[in-house]
Amino acid sequence: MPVRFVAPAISLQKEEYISMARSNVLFFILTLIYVFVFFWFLRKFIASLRTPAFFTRQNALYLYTTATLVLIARFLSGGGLPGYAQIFSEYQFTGASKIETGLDISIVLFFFGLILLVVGWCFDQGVKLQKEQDLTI
Amino acid sequence: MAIKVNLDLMLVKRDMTLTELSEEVGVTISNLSILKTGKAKAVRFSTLNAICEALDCQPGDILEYEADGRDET
Repeated sequence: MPVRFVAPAISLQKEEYISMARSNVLFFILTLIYVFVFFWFLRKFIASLRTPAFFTRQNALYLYTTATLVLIARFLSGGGLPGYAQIFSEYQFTGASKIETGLDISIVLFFFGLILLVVGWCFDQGVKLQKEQDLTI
Repeated sequence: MAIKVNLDLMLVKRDMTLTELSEEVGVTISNLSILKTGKAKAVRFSTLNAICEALDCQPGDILEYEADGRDET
């Protein structure tokens, strides 16, 4: 559990500690669900590489969904409740007075998601070409 | 599409079935059926050549352009 990283040097009120622990557990569960869904769609897309019918509408949708999930990740790792929980579970102390988070890769994820979206659009064009090819006698 | 395919008429004229044409031309029955029903998006010259050879006809006997702009797709 992420709560094991709490250092005793920080003075916390009990209610604040419980609130942070709960939000962290919730974030942990949401992250697990997110990762599961993301890899499920990615696995479906990669599994279709083995089939002869590769350029299909369904595969294009899998790619679009994966790209959307990556774009959402940027906002999930950035601020609000998940950001609060991130500070609680992954941090460094400087003189027990300053809390620093790790490297923020959310902007990298955002651009990666955009690139994946463009790849999905190109794949969609391939689906249209494949359809036309199938109807060429 | 404004291009009409009169394959069924030619088959009747030549007293040939779609199956026989399929065997002679080397195109599957399903693809010939797609062509016959006007759902095809394009036809290769090689296919048209094989069909005309099998049916002993001209491309104009199989393909017809209807100028009223009717789009069946």
